[in-house]
Amino acid sequence: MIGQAAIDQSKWYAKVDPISKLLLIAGFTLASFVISQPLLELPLLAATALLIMFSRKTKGLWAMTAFSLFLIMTMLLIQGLFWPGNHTLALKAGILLFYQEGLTHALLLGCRILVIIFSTCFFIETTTISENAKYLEAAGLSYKQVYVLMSVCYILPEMKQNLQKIQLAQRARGIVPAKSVWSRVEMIVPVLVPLIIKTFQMAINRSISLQLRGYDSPERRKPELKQEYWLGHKTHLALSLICLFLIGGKAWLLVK
Amino acid sequence: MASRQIALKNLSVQYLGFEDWVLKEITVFAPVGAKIGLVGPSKGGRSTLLNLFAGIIPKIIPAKIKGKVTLGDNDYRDLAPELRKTTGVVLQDSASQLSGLADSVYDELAFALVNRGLDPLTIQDRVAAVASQFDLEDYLEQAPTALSGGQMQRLAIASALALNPQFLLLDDPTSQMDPVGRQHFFSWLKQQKDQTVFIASGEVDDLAEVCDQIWVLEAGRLAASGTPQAVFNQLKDDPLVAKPTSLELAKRLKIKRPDGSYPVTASELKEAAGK
Repeated sequence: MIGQAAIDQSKWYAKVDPISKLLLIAGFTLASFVISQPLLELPLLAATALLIMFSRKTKGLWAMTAFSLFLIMTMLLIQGLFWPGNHTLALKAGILLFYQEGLTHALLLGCRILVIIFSTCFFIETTTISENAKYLEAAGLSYKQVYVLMSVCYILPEMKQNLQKIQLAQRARGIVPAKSVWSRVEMIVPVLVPLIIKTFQMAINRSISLQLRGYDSPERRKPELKQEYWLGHKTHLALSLICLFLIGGKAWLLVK
Repeated sequence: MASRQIALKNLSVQYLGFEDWVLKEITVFAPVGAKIGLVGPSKGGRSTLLNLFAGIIPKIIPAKIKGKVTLGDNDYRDLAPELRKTTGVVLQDSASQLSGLADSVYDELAFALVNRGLDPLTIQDRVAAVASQFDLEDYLEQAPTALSGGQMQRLAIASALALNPQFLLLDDPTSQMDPVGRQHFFSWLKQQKDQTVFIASGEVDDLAEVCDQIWVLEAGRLAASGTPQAVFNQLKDDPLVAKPTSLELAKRLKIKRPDGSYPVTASELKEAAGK
């Protein structure tokens, strides 16, 4: 589906099973939504950043962070200027008035985005699609459900890979790569619609092929998991309880 | 099985939402166990015919179908679920044919076998056999996405063959292979016996060598069917249909076979030129 480097099975992150990693994403995300102050988000941000730093799998991180920083800057601009709760002036830039409440709110949202990105990046970079699929199927999901889940999760990386192919083809035809951000955006926009169509067409072809190859056959044997994981079910239980606690906490805060 | 035949009787196919019929009243017969090459200009209906045989139409891609497809005395649609288990399919786009959930070429080759519930030892043997047939032994541990276009096509073909299918449907299986890879594939195909093969390809030189029958599809109609010799000689003046190089050369050099027809393969040309 996407070109992933093989995962070194001797590393610590390979011993954490895929469901635990997914629950970690859920836990960090819920925790960031419970917290309502940007300063208090910093320990969460640090924890997720350390997670990915210790795994030394930062290849995809910078691109995702760069894109999110662009988004965060946009949010700071818009929320700082127009958020409904604005009333304390923070800074003035010409005719533009930025308010403290809007900027704080944008920072909070920005921290949440980064927490989600860092924790998701840890999952994507340290787990292969195949491992995810095998583990989920061994955990009891049908192969059909697993395939649908994987297709949804990996559609964006697949689009990115297709985009890279298109850009490579453009370069082979003598199109000079754009240097500025704006000209890059200008070059990508006309490609977006055919890119999305191609990605969906590939997904349709793949699903046809899978049906022909009997992926929903009742005779299919469940895969044997070759990797040994730490704790497994106990980790799932503990992380699930933490997530439930966080959901309860958020609900209580909302009611209060 | 060898005495049975595949029969298409007034077969017409129309995709839902489209006015034009993609296949129009095709009537043709072929013996089971034969190799049939499908040739013709693009939009001729070759892929549609293969999709129909594979069960993609109408099960996955809805379409209106008129006429009949029979295998022996049975309607093809009645046999379809059982036949599908013994049918290997290679689509035009080999990259999108991969499961997308395999870490290695080995896992990809084993995919359909795992789906059939075969035991690990049998899977291992079958994977080793097809990998050897298609020069994929050195790539078994590699990720499928790291393969070149030609290697991916070989992987797609090998994956289809791992099930030992009785019917093989190949849609342009060598479009991304280099000449050596293509020669290897058609040499392998020539040696296959007892398998019914439908192959859509633009490689008319190789099809003329390998196939028992050639069906020419133009704008959804069957323009010609028969042995490569008969078909390419019949259509020698048709500009829309590619002809084998041997026939083109023979026409220019005015070399004919004893029966007055032009040779369509290199060996026929050599023989005719030698006389």
